[in-house]
Amino acid sequence: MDAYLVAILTIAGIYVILALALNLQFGLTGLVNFGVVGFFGLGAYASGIATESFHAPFIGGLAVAMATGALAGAALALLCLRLSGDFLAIVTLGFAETVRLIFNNEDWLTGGPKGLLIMTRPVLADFGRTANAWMVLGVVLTGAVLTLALMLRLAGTPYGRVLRAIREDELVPATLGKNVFVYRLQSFVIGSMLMAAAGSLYAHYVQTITPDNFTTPVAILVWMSVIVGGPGNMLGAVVGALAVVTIYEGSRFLTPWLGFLDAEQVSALRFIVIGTALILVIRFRPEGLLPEPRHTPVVPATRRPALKG
Amino acid sequence: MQMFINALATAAILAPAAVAFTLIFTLFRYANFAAGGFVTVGAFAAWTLNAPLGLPLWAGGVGAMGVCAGAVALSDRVVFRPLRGRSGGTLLLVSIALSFVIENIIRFGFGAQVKGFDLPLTGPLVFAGLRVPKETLFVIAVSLVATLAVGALLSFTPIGRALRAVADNPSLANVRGLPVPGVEAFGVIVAGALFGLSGTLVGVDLAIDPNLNWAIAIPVIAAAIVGGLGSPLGAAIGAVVIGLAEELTAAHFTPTYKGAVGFVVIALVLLLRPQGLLGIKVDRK
Amino acid sequence: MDLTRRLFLTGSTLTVAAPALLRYGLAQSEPIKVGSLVPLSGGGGPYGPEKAQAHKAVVELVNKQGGVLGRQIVLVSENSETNPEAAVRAARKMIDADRVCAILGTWASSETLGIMPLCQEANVVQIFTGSSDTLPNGDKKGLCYNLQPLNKAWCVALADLAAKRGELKIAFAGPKNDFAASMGDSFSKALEKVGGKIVGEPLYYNPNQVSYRAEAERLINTGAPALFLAGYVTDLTPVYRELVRGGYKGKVFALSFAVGPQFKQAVGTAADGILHGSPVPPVGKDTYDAYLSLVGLKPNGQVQNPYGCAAYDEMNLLLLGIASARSTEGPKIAEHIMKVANGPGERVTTFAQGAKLLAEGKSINYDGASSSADFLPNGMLKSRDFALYEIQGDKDVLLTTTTSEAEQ
Repeated sequence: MDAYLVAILTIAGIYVILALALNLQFGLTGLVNFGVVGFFGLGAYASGIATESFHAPFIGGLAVAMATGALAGAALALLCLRLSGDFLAIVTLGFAETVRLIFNNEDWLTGGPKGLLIMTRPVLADFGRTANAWMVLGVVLTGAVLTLALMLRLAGTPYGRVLRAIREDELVPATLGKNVFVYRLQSFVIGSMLMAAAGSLYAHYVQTITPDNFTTPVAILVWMSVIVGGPGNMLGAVVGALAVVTIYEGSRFLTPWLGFLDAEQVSALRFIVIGTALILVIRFRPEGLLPEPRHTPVVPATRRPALKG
Repeated sequence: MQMFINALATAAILAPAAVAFTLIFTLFRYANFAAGGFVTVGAFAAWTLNAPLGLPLWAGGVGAMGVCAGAVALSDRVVFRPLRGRSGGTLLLVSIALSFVIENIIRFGFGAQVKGFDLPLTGPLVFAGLRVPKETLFVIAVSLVATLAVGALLSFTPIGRALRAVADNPSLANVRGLPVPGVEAFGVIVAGALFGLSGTLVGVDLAIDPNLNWAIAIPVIAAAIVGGLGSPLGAAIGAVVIGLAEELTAAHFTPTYKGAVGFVVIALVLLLRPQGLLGIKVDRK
Repeated sequence: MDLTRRLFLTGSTLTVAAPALLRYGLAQSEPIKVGSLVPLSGGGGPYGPEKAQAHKAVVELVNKQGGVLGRQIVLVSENSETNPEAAVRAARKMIDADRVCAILGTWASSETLGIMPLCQEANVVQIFTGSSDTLPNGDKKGLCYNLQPLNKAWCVALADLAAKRGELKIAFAGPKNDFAASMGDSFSKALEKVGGKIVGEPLYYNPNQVSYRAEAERLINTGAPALFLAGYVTDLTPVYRELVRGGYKGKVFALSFAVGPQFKQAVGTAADGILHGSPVPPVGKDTYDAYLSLVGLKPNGQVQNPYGCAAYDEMNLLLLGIASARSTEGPKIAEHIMKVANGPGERVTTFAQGAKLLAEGKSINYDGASSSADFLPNGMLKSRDFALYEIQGDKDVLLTTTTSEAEQ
């Protein structure tokens, strides 16, 4: 059972990083980014190609992944950040799909549909499977904790306040002299860079990546983490990611009770439940499990003599 | 020239759905990604009536239109109406989740096996060096009639005028005495019927399976955006543009990137000319 | 005080020892856990369910007949989603939480390869269908068995069959996925070896599209007298329909698993004349018919459920291996699967037959529903017999056979 839990925690850690990154982009800044898996995949392939074809160590792969993510994020943002919410979503979705098609078609670079085999692992030395698994878990959890710390920092500082202000009504911070576009750009690029980093960790963990790993259902799971956990609340994103992974994995154990359905139906049912849950949360509890901490200014009490004597 | 005919055939399938998409966008101001899901519902509804139940295809088509109208109305009531007023991004997210749910409900009920209509497969009509498959003529004809009918409905009838008024400014229309909920319901039903029609036409052309959802959604949305959101005629023209773009890409570039065409077109249009060909410039958040 | 303490010590010792004692006693009747990991969604979605159904049917039958070595079999089913990562998580659960002795059913080579490191490390047997040429690579401790011929073998056989029919100029088209991706090149080389030539470049297309008109157009424009379409039923159906509608008059070669009953129903009489290739003709074989009746189908002269019959063999081979080895340890089972599959021994076609003979101390040779199930030392199929069928009015008519010369 141990090894199974280690595996689940590792995946959860990666989803936490993805959720935190998306939370920065959407939760704080209001950018509807559906290109999550595009950056995730770019990071994975960039890191894989760096370590396999160019013999870089894992850290090198991670760095290349983050650079690729940042560059792609910047390029995409420059192109379409000015678009309104739903159009931005469609264009970013298109980005993710196009990137996936590139992965699938350009065999010479990515191995195409057969996938890329990655032997490099973020471990110090090969101490055997179980030890390796724990080491990888350690690396992923470190990444998750660092990301969380960074995000909390960003959210709590004046920087975070500006992002939130932009999310609510960009006219106000603009009037105050803030360059709205640059803030949005920064938020988007930092987010995409982190998603790419998650991709790198993912690639070196699963060791075989194919274009099929980076499809829209994954994006839906990440979005669900953010929405369910609480958009705007970083701890909420962590809780949301853990909740989503638990639901996904936990539903495997319910299969024996659903014996009257065939396996295909159980699988479809799981996705139905996830999609419906997302809609229900948006409808009935849009602030998520952990609502955004409200930063209300302290109003000094006014002293007025009581009217009634 | 052959390419143009092929593009028209593709466009004919996309056009009704694109018009429906633009209708919903105009009335309710959000992009309904579940368009793909509804078209899939239409395809499966038509198939159920046609293959296991043995009804002729036109009956299956009419039935599909009815089922889809119901589906769209139901989803509007249950999912979208309570969320009216929320940002476009939220509604899009909800519609993506909804399309996901619809796809899997279909998979749950019908399985993932590929299905097809009970139709004989015949060769093409050949004239002047062009090959025109018989089904293509049928599909183009039906689609054209439907689009013209809806266009006429919107432009020349009182209910059409009412629809446009409500779309433009619901509160003003209300003040003027228009039955806004009734008009909206009408719009929803017309949109649903169009999705059903597209679904039936898709079934004539492609294999019917739950994965249709994603395959259809993007070209439909692209067609509507290219044509200009808010203009049904634009949506139809947009469908032709998308059909052409896909044909050109497959013929001169490589078929493996055909899937990206819709997205590239959307991005280009949104960046260069957001109102599309015939659309109205709308202030969006 | 003293009495209580003594009671407590005795009591706790017994309580601690009890499970161990019980476990020893129960171990003889503890169920055997087997994993069934098939794609129920994604690209393999149309093919996984028949595998899962076959696994379940065999297990239910064997359990009814008394199980294996007197123990019942518990089947753990999961969806691999045609996605290696999902497959790995499901495999992790099966290996660590359920403690299966074998994982059967993976369909996409990427899934099989994805879960291989885990299975290898836990000494879990893998029996699957896969065609990627990279599957035989590496030392697999003899734990892996593949019930499908590899890509190269398919191509060489099909080229040979095409040449036998006099078709030497063939254009190639296939979806851009794991299976077909390398087939274009392999087929081209194979065709050249038998004196033919591929027309133009291999055409690859996207599997999930609105329309395949343009692709069909391109194929028609090559003017090739014959086409080899390496697609699955989901994309083959619309591509073929476009070809017919576009007026293509040449010969069409396909793979048998793509032109099954669903394809024929969708395309109707226009399917007549399609030539399709399949490994060792199962149609009419007694094992194949037994499989069909087990899952409630009637033999109808067509190649039905090509993956289901392979899954039937997967499960039978595993259970016979366990019965022969008298153990549920992976390496032992694997060793005995080789024995029961290759023989020499008496020919058996069901678990019941085989188990009876094994109990009598005799050797057996399992002859499967999807192939004769004889393996090379690396776990790949030995026999590379292929057959060419032609669709004639809803039936698959056997035309000719060949033995693929591809090196395994």
